[in-house]
Order: sequence, then C-alpha cells, then structure tokens
Amino acid sequence: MNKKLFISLFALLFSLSVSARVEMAGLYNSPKGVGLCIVEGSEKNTFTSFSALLDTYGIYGRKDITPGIRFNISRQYYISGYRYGDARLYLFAGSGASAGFVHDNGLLDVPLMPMGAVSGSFGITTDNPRKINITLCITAEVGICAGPNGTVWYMNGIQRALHPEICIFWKL
Amino acid sequence: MKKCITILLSLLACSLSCHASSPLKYGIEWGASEQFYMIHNYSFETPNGSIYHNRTYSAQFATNTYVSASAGIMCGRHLMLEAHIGYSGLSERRAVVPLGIGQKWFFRSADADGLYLGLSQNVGITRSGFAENVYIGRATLGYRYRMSDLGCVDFLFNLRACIDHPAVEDPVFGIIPTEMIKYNSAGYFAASIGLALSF
Repeated sequence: MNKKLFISLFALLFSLSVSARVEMAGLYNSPKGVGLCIVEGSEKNTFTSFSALLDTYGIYGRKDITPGIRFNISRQYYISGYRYGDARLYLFAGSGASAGFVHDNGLLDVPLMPMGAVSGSFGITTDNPRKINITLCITAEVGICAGPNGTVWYMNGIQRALHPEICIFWKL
Repeated sequence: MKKCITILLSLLACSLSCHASSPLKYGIEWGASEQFYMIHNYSFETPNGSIYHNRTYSAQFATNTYVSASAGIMCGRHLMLEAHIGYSGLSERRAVVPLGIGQKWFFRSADADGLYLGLSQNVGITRSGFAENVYIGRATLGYRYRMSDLGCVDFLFNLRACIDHPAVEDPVFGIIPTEMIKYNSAGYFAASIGLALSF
C-alpha cells in the first residue's frame, strides 16, 4: 500500500515537471546528490523549480551501493532583491514535495526504499544579464520512507538539511 | 558542514565586497574524478632476509569527488597566482585535504570569456598531518564564462598525478607488514571534470 502511494506521488511530480513551461535548465550540485534542475517562470514574484537527482547517500567510498533517485517540486517566493553591478540578487523561500527511492537510516544493504516528504527551501538566486544564472539554497525535507521493517521517518531530509545546493542554470 | 557553510558565506561576502576589476579573486570548485592508471614501486625484506623489489603498472579505476576553495591575485592581465585548500578523494577509500598553490594563464583575461590553462602543486594532509608525504600535481584546461559583475563560471577538465604510499600487497608474498617495507611509493593518475565559480 505504502509503496503504491509513494510511486503515485513520484509519478505525479514527474508528470508535473514534464508539462512545465521551462524558463531555465541546469545542473544540480550538492553533497546530497547530483542531477538536473529546471525552473518554470510563473506569476510575478514566484517561480516553480523541479529537480531530479541521484541521491549519493552512502555511495562515497563504496562501489556496491546503488545511488537513490529523488524528485522534488517546489514553489518559491521572492523575499527581497538587491542590485549588484549589472546583476540582481534575490532571496527566496518556498515549499514543495519530494518523492523517490533512496537509502536512509544507515540501511545501505537493502533495496532502495520508496520515500515521500514535504520540503522547505531558503536561498539566494542571481539574475544575470547573460545566459547563466546561479542559485544557492538549503532544503529541509520532513517525510517518511517504507523500509524493510516498516515505515520510518526519512532522517536524511533533516540531517542533511544544511548541505548547500548549487544550481547552475542556462536560460532557455 | 557548519565550517563548509561558513566558508561559502565568507567567500560570498568577500566577492560582494570586491569589485570585478579588483586584482584579488576568490573561487570555489568541485567535480568528479576517475582514476585510470597506477604505478606502484616497492621493496621489502622477505622472511629469509633478502630484499625483494617489485614495480607494478596497472589500469586501476576509482571514482572520486573533490571540492576546493581558493584565493588568488592577478599578476598582470593574464597570469593569476592562487592558494587553495580542499577535500579530495585520491583512490579507493583514500581521501586527503590538498593544500597548495596554483598558477593560471588566461588567454584573454580573468574577467572575460575564454580558455585558460592552470597548474597546481599540492601537499596532501591526512589524519596524521603531513607525515605521509602525499603530493598532488594537476593540470587544468578551463573555459571561463563571465556571468555578470558578480563573477564567472568555469568549466574544467583536469589531469591529476598523485604520489602516495599505500599498503603493499604483493602478488607472491601477500600483505607486507610496515616494518618489513624498505621503500614504497605509488603514482596515481586521474582525469576529472568540474565546475568552478570565481568572484
């Protein structure tokens, strides 16, 4: 039951991203994982970000661990903006949802576990006159995952909340 | 992790306090590397008292990541000298803190789009400090894309050579105890791709 629920959530988030009107696409870089990130321009003072990443929990130093896959959709709200030379900097915060198949709670030798979580982000983004924009943010996720011993809290969402995430976007 | 965030915020603050045309430059860099070749040269005393010497050449693969922060100064329009510190995986289950200096030659200038070449020389700090004599040299081919007055993004390709002293595991004698080893040195070669932000 739990697995079907998580898979449905994952499919929903994925379909939302496919239908997005992409404004920027780029690379997601973090100690948490690497992946792709796209931004959909929406109404004034908000934007929607989608990220699909390989979750690197547990893979450093081991060859026999399969990286997880995680998907996130977030609606972000601009808080304030600053001008610096020919660029602009914006603080933003927002919330969203995550779903995927991951390792967690130190359980590395079991199959990937389905997870679902709500997320909260805070960061800073640039608006450059040229083609590349950069976003630096942190994201906390509160959720659950279906482990071999039942449903447990998704601990990495909190424990790795302060790991910085840098996205380098190419404006389309 | 708190230290990492402090470093990132400090670099951001430094970048905002420093105009684009300033000779002082700051940067962060990260990427993934793939070790592809290893030369291991060692000698040890066998149980019967003779000295056994061996040298092995092998294609040995290990995927690693690295991250580093740097501060540099422009010497003229094309040359930049910098100091950097980071954290880097070298081979399988082996990571060090590289501390070193580097030189970059920009074919156009440090504030414009264009190719550059870089060299860096590092000493690797391990849990036992500098005692393990780990040395890392790196050659870089980079492309700098200027975003705005905020700074630039660099797309990097690196070749790295490293001298380390791993445990000696001889195909005939097995794992050799440290006290039996007379000489032990290995060279690792790796290629990497990376991204860098410079301010």
